[in-house]
Amino acid sequence: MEQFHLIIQKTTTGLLIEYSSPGIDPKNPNVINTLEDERAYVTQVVKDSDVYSIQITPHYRIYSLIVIDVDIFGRSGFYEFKLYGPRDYLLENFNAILQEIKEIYNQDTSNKPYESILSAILLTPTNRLADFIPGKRNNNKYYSFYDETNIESLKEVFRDKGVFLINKLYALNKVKAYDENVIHSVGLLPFSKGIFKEVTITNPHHVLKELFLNNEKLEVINLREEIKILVEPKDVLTYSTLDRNAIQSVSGSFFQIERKPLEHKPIQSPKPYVEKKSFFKDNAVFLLALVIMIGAAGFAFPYLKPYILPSPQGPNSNPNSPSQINNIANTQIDSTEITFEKIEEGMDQLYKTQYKCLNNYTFKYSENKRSGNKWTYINYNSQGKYLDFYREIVKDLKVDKSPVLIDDEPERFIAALEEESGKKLDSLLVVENKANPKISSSPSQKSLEDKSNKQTEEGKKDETNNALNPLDNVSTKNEGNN
Amino acid sequence: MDQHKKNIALQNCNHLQIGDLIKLIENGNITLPEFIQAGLTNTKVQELQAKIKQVESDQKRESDRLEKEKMEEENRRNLLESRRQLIDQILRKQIGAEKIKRAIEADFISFNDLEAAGLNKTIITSLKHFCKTKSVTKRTTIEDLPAMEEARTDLYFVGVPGSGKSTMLAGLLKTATEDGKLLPDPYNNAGSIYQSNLITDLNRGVLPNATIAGSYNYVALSLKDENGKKHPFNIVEIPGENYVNMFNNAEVEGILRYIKNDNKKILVFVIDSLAHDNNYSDSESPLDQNQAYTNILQMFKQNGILEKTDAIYLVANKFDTIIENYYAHDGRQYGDLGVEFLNKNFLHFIENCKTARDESRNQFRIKILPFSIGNVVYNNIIESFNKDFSNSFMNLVIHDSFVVKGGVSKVLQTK
Repeated sequence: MEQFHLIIQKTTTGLLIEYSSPGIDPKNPNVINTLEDERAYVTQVVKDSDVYSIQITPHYRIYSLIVIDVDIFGRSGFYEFKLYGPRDYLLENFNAILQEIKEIYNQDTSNKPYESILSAILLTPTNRLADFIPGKRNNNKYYSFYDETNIESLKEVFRDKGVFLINKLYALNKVKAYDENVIHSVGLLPFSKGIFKEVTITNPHHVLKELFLNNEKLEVINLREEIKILVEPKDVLTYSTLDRNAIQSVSGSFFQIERKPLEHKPIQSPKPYVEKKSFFKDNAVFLLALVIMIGAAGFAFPYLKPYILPSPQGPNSNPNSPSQINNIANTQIDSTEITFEKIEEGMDQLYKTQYKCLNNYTFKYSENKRSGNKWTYINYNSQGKYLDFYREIVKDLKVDKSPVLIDDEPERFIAALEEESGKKLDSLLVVENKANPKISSSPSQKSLEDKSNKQTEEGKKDETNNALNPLDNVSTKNEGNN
Repeated sequence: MDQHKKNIALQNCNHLQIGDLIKLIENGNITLPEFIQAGLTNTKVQELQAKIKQVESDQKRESDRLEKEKMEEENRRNLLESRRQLIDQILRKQIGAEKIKRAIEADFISFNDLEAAGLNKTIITSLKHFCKTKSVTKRTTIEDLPAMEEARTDLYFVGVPGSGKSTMLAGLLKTATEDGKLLPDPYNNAGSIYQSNLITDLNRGVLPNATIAGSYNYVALSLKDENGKKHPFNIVEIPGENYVNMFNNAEVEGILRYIKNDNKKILVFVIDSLAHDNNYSDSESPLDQNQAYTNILQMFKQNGILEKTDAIYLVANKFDTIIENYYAHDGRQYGDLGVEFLNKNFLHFIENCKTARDESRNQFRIKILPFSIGNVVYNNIIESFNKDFSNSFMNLVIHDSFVVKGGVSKVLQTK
């Protein structure tokens, strides 16, 4: 099947489809809307010259060459070559192809090898556009100028991703175009590089829940680490995250979605400022007594030390010591509580959590007299199968290949799950030994040991694979054992 | 130079000035190899060669300059010739106004050139208007139109692309304006602008622009009859492209929904007599008007439009050319000639109209009339406006429409 198609239309008495290549139907609704009478636009805004246009529809990327002409009554008219190609591929040499088609069209011969031109157009991976989300299409038509002596300027403007956001872009020959007031009067708007901006949103913590463009929810995969979105300057991008309810604004061209900021425990709020001058004046006598008492205490300290201070292994009683501050910081990475919701009861109890990006995971506790009670889980990556779930696996729960729970979060996760379910989440090693006490090293344990050894030997050769494999290996082998 | 003098010159060549040596060489008396053989020093030989090279270079430059001048002169002459030929074509009216406009925009010719060549000043004024007017033609879809106002006669211009619907409407408006019978109604602002543009263009001798494919024009106006009574109209131009795929066409369904109201209607079928006469040889139009209009009539019939129709006009447009080709020396009235032409060429359609009338409860009138806007030159310029046809058409629509007294909202009488 051809990837490119051609439609030629021209003004005769009215507007007529003169040619359509095999594989495209000018009466198809997806095509018919792209066949416009350019007398409403182009023929009114340029003198005798060629005009190029680009239009992107949900089905096609259409490059066209519009040639100003007269109709059979001698009135202003045109003929147009419309090249329909795949939507997501740039065609760098569109102008040369269209000019070649024009040349053939104007040749005085009945043999017009349009199809051989179409089949010779190649698509390569290099001209495929990178994945991005065009914000919202406006229905306006735009114009830009090109310099006949510098056709690269034409190609550059047609490469602009902004064409995804508009109905159509015309490129007019600068020296042959009428005054811009005339161009504006037919309803065309000026298009320049950068009138639409690309916003890159990074989501390293996988907390993005929803993305909104002018309050309309965008269909995006919220687990993507990086989202590129094309918007108009006046557009407002907002988002919500899993760890807070408020809608927040995206600003700038590069924006990183952060987790909820740290909430430090209020250690001690500073006392309000009191005028020192009056304090010293008022308390000079007491201060003097205090100094004497400190002096006495200093003198007696070496003798009283064993009785005053606790042993070095005891808790640090100084609230301002650095270790205490670090401890607070670590435990307060995410103040949102980890909570679970029980969604099914009976033999199988299912639990879901909205914590971070784990809303794709379901955890199941099954009671089975023959094979024993056990925890399993399922997610979008487990191909519809519940996989065995142990304490050791919690820290390996991943979204888009990245672990979700860090620091003390696995422990908090386990505690919350056990509290909600009232069931203990077993350790992998304990279970294996319980199930078959004769086996000193179970396959799954061996797998972990092997992995551990391998990591020691090879270091972090392939972090991504190592991060993924433990879960898969353990689960598969445990299933075999069970 | 005799041999003796030549020998002396050769013997003394190293004592001669470079200029003298050059002269001897240029005059053909002695060649450079002869000087070299006679012992001309290397320095002098090199000087001489450089000088010769320079002379040759100067000569070439001069030759190039002359060649360039010659080419420029030739180009200038060609340009003048092309310009002369173009002006000649213009004087002989063999070229369209659009091409004249492009030549003027490209500064290839000017209006002064045309004036100097003796072109009629009225035509030049019309051409100036044609070239300078930047009234924008916009596409108006059926969805863009305001609902048709009730209690008016709906006047529909139906015709294939290029048949002259807009031109006929322009003729009606110009005549009504000149006769003081036009009463614009501000109901549809876009329509009022369109109406003004049509009248202005025609007053300056310029035909209306081609209507954009799929674009509709709706004008609300009233015409005053001889007794001073108002005849309110909704005038709608229905674009011709719709008739190409008339059946199973969502656009046609949209039209039917739009025009289906309780207003009385006059259907004006605008026939391109010239295209038919040429057997559509140069139109590249897929439509045979005889067939197309019969299909449209059937569509109106099926959808009950004919039950509200007071009159159907079959208008043989561009009839001036038909007269010129077939009735140049015929003394009969144009009306009789029009009937004869249409009976001869569109009998199929006429008979279908009659049958449709017989099958309708509403015994609408069927009228045949020829129409011409006048003598058109350069495809777009009206050399002389023929008011007679427009006047007859205006009187017909006034006659076949209802009148109101005391305002447009109250229907008093239906003719």
